[in-house]
Amino acid sequence: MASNNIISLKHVYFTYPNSKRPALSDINLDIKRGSWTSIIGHNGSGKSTITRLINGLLLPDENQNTYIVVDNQELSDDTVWNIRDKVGIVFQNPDNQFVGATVADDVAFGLENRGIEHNEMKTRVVKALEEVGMTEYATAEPSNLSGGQKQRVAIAGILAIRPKVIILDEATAMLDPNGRESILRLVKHMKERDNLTVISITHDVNESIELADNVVVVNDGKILATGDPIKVFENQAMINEIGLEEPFIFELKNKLIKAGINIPLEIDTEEKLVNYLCQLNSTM
Amino acid sequence: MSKIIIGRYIPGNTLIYKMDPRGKLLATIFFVCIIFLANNWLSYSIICLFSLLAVWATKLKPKVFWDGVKPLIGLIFFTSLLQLFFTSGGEVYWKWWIFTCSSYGITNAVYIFIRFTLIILISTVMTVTTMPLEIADAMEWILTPLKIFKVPVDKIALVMSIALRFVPTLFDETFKIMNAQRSRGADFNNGGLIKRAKAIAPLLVPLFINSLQTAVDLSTAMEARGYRGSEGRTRYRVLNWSKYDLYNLGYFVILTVLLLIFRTH
Repeated sequence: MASNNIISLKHVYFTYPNSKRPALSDINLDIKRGSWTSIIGHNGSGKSTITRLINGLLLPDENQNTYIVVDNQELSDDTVWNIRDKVGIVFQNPDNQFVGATVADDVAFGLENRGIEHNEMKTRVVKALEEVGMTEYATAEPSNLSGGQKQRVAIAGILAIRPKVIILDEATAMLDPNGRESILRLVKHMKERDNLTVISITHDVNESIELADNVVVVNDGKILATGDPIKVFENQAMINEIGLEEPFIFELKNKLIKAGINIPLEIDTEEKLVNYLCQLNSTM
Repeated sequence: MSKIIIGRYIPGNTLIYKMDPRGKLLATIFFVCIIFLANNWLSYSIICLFSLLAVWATKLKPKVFWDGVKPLIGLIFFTSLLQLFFTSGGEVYWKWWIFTCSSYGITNAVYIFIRFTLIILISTVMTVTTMPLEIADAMEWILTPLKIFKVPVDKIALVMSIALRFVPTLFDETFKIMNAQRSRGADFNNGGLIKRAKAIAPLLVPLFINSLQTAVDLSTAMEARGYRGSEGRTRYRVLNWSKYDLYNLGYFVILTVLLLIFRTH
């Protein structure tokens, strides 16, 4: 039975060892196949923990109602390696996930682990490097690469194993604006081409507005809100309460309204706002 | 910041570069053994000639090799001097207290000097023409028989390659911490030995903590990327023997035969 949801979490609780308070409590989450989901929340809210539960890096607290399903397979000791074949994670620190001594070696690492035959491995490495535009750096050592280039290599390493889900665990947090922009563009391109599902853990509300189909707000180990980004971010009180920055478009809109310019509710993207303001000007 | 390169690999494309690192590593070890076959002027001349030929074949500047010998020059002279003054036998030219300078002493001193220098030259030939990573691969291959004694050779090899990969990263980290400490008034370059050693401690502690964090992150990333021990793993980097390794072999066979013929029996 193929489900519309690629990932399903039901009644998931998680407590870190040596901690009394659960880091996550009663998490219920469905992620649609081929969607882009942003998980946002401040530091320590538990947003990264959710992703580590999805591919079994962490195991949820024992609870008979708990289940985690990834691509129609329930996560268990027997399926964890299967699930890891389907889920690739790009971590925050570019240096701390670079295993190989050279770019090509690093891309091959995931393939080596899966026992892929040598010739097949070579083709896949070449192809993955091409896809992320790092072909000319194949023999480069990580110390000669920028943070953005290292993240590209990390993405290539994931593409090489042909996953169904890519998780960006604050993958752009340590990059400069250009690096961030180009990494997100690359992921978006690959997502559309291969019909991948993307889960992006981020602080960046503007990124969520721009790219996500679905946003999940996490605070204190609980899901506070989930749904269409624009709808979720309209709830300003909640956004402010959990200490997130308001998306630029909403901030601007509110300031304009305060300044006495009447902006209709349905204006919810930068483009619409620019068009509206231009028209406003010309009718004056 | 200058890029620190571990080992002394210098990129190039001459004959020796094309040889398999396993062959080069074995040949170097073999060289250290057969140099003891030389025991007269003729056999020493032969081995000198062959070594210089190998040096010449790298087509690298002599300075590269001089840099290899330089740090050990003191040790070489010290050992030679010991031979010179403490070997007895032959004609004695000069004697004072416990020191003797004899004809045997002179010959031995020169032999030791040549032997030492040639060993360094040949190992330099190997290290400048072989990437550290390739040397690690070659070492793994040589250690492979230990697998029957349950030595985790694959894991050792992975550890070696990760260690090599993180050397430049740790250097970068060290410079960052040094600059952070300097900007707050730390002084690493002045003062006596004890004062300098004390300045190192606040450098090592953050470096150590960072390394542990890196190790934790890296192991998470490795697990997420499907690493589950050596079983069922394939290799991306594969070493292949080629015709150049036959040249390597032939070279050493000829050298050994010549040494066996011309040494004093």
